[in-house]
Amino acid sequence: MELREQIRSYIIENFLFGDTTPLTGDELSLLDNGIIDSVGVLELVAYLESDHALTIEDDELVPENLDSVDNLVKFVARKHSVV
Amino acid sequence: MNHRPIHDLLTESADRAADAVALTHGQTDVTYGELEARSNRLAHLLRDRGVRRGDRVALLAENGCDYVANYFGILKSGACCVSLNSQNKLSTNRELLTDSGAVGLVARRAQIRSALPDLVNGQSDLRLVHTDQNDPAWVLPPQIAFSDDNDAAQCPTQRPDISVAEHDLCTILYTSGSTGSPRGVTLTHRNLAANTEQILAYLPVTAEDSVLVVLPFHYSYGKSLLLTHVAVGGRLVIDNRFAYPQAVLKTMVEQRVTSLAGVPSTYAILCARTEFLRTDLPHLRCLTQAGGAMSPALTRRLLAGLPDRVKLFVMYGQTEASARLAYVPSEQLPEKIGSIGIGIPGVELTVRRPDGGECDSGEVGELVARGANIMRGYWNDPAETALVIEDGLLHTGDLGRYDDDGFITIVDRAKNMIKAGANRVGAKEIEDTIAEIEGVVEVSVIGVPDELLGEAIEAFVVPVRPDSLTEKQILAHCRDRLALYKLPRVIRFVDALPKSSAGKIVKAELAKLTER
Repeated sequence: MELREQIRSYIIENFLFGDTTPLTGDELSLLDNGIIDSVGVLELVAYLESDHALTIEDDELVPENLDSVDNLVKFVARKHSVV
Repeated sequence: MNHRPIHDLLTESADRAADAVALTHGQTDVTYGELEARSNRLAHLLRDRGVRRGDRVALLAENGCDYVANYFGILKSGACCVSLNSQNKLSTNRELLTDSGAVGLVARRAQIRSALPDLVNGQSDLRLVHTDQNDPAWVLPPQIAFSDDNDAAQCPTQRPDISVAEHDLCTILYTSGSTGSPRGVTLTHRNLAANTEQILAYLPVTAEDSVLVVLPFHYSYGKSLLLTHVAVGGRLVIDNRFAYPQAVLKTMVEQRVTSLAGVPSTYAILCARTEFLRTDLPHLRCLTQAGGAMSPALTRRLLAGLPDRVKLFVMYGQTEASARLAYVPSEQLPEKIGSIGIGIPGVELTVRRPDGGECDSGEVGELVARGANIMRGYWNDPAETALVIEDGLLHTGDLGRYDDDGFITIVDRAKNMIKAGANRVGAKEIEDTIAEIEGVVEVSVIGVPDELLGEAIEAFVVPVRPDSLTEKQILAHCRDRLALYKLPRVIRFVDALPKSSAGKIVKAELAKLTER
């Protein structure tokens, strides 16, 4: 599965429990639109670290990296490219 | 002692230092003079639209400069502000609007989006809606007048001449009730003014302070931060991005904040996922913590990691007490870890036996409080009020004991409530929601200790047949009906729930199952 699809399905399965309607676009802020909360961000980080074999530094926990599907895809791709 | 209306705190700070910055949010600074003028404009607009002393006006907004201007504007119109939680589901806020009998709704467009017609249709008491910006797509019933900030900008900036008495209702804050339905805690101007004075008698807050605000203003702890800092003319630095704690830490550095207020999970997350204890914060001098018990391990970690100049105040309170009831003097904290301390100045906090007598040290009883900060009661609910207020005493529902120095430690909660993060959540509301699902025989919900949240919500579900329900099905049902913070973190399917001989579910037995 393509990276973007993997991330979308993780969010849909784990935060929306299968309901795709709230995730109307890949640019949508997950926090502002009530898709995740602060605990959800930590779960998302745990998922990226385990399923995508990443080590995420504390200073990378910023909305620019994590707050939309677009940002997540760019972030994961960038992390893999520098490994 | 007579108390002034709570909005006088803003006017007095604006008179003393109109150019001082009251609020910082992102790149925006708002001075006390600007805040005073903006709140006066909204008050005039609400009066012009027919709002009168004693009316209720609901406020639905995220923390921000607008929230504060609108809050004080509503109070200056003579109305009582009904603080709605912007994280609530639409259906919940619709119920609360109806329950409060609000004649007005002041809301940020971002919080209501396309939902405004659904929120206000059928609200028989509602006569006006005010937002920051109109949306041409909104079609409202003809009896509801609409205004936005362009209309408010035409109103005078002088303070309206409205008489407000100290016993007038100031704010209704909805909290989770043990019955499953939210209850409106009614606080008068006197309650909030008294608690503000009581807090300032022990907490060193001055006009030089800049506090980082990550707690919502619709929550009693957030509201007390707002009122204490406005009272002294301090600055509130608002950051709503705590989900990204590193971004918040950056704000602390850039804005040179002098204090931070948090619930246990605030500090747990800062310590676990940021460089908080290793970051040079030369201006920081005070941390406060309330909103549930912080683990002794985390308290020790903070004490060990903070420079000596930073004082840590562990505190205790309830929405029913305006906010604050007890604190541990910071210099005594190292010897009193795990305690909630002593009653704050002006509050009599005691541990009582069921017959009303005061407990001896070591003896477990209920925490009972008296003071000018204790709420008038629950909105339109004399029966629930009578359960917690008796002869002016607030029965907190928390069980605790004195140590030999008179410091109180909480040992249990008498009510069926869960403290998840900053939020008090009634187990029954979640149980009722899950019980709606076809195929659920019975359900019980408990809070289990959690390193980050204090307590995490776990649901035990007995399905009609094994494998007839999935965790996802249950969570999807809950997500449609409950705010995110009320969602169980774990769903456990069990064959039966442990019961007492009287058939009552024994929640303590459920807690043991989670330990395995």
